[in-house]
Amino acid sequence: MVKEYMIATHFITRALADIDYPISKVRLIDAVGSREVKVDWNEVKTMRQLIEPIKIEKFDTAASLFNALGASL
Amino acid sequence: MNIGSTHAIGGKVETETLSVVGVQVAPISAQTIDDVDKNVDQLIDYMNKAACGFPGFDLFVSAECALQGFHPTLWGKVLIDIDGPQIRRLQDKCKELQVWGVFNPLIKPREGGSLQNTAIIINDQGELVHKYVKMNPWIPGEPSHPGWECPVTKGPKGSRLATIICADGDYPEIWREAAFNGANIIIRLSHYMSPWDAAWEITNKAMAYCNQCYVVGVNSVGIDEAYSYIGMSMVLNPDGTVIVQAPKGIPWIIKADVYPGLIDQIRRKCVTSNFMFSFKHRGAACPDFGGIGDTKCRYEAYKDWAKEARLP
Repeated sequence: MVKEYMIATHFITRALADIDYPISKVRLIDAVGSREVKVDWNEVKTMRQLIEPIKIEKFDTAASLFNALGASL
Repeated sequence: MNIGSTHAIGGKVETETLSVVGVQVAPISAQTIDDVDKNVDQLIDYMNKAACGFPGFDLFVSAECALQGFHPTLWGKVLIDIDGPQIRRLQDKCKELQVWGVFNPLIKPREGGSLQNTAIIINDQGELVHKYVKMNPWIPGEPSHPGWECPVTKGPKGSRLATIICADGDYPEIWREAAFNGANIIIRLSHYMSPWDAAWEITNKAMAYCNQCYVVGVNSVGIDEAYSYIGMSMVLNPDGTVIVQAPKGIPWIIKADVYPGLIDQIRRKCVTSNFMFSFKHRGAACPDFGGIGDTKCRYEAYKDWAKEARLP
């Protein structure tokens, strides 16, 4: 049996560590869009690829962003 | 948490939040290097669990003997090199997860001589940035070379990290040394066994309070050829109160957020109960000493290190 761990959120959290809220989607992509994160052990995406599909334009808190990310993944 | 003193503390406190994960595991009591490699597999697995359960955490802390156990007769066959493959695997993992890690290898010194019971800290770039050799081996059972200093290393998020190992914690001196050298977090990696269950708890709480530091105490579980290891890993506030505590005797993961900047504020702004000041300035409020206090060492236990304790 292979053990599976969800590690995407760990790397996304670290990539967003220096973000203050509230922040707009546009400013967020400006700030972190080019940062690469592991979404699985052997798969990397940019934060732009993860944030762009979100249909919300402004995030008042980290909670709102992470929930939106989770819903769009 | 009751920080501060009788006197109000003014001004703002600036601090980052350090997320710490501690894992209490039962290591294999290694008899071969294969066993050591399996213990490293276990640690790496727990690092993955930590990333899964506590995304974005900063610091991973494991227990004493988590790499090798401490077999009563075969421990000498499983000593490893400080730059060997087992440590490199942990370095690679820290770098991959972008976290700092604290580990305890039993090292075969390059220059020869007896084993060194060592605490290392690896940073989030996979670099080995801290090495501490246990200053108070658990004699007579532990034949390791006693260490010679208690270094403090700048860690993430404003932390200044000291490491002590297991029986070290039975000696107030090492805790004071760590705080005196600037630590705001003292990490105690342990392989502490029954029947000293109460002592584990008492020493962690008392020494966090007496030295006004956060304490991260991570202890083993399991039963080997000789002992049962009690677990009860804990993270404590600088007033000795418990933030989080693991149960006794079973593998567990604890996690706590601590605020290293608060300790710095205590050091700078506390008036009463500022032990780092008052222990070296006894009676500083007494007019006879001009506001500085008696700064001579008056303790018979420390004045002459060669002198032995009085026996009844």
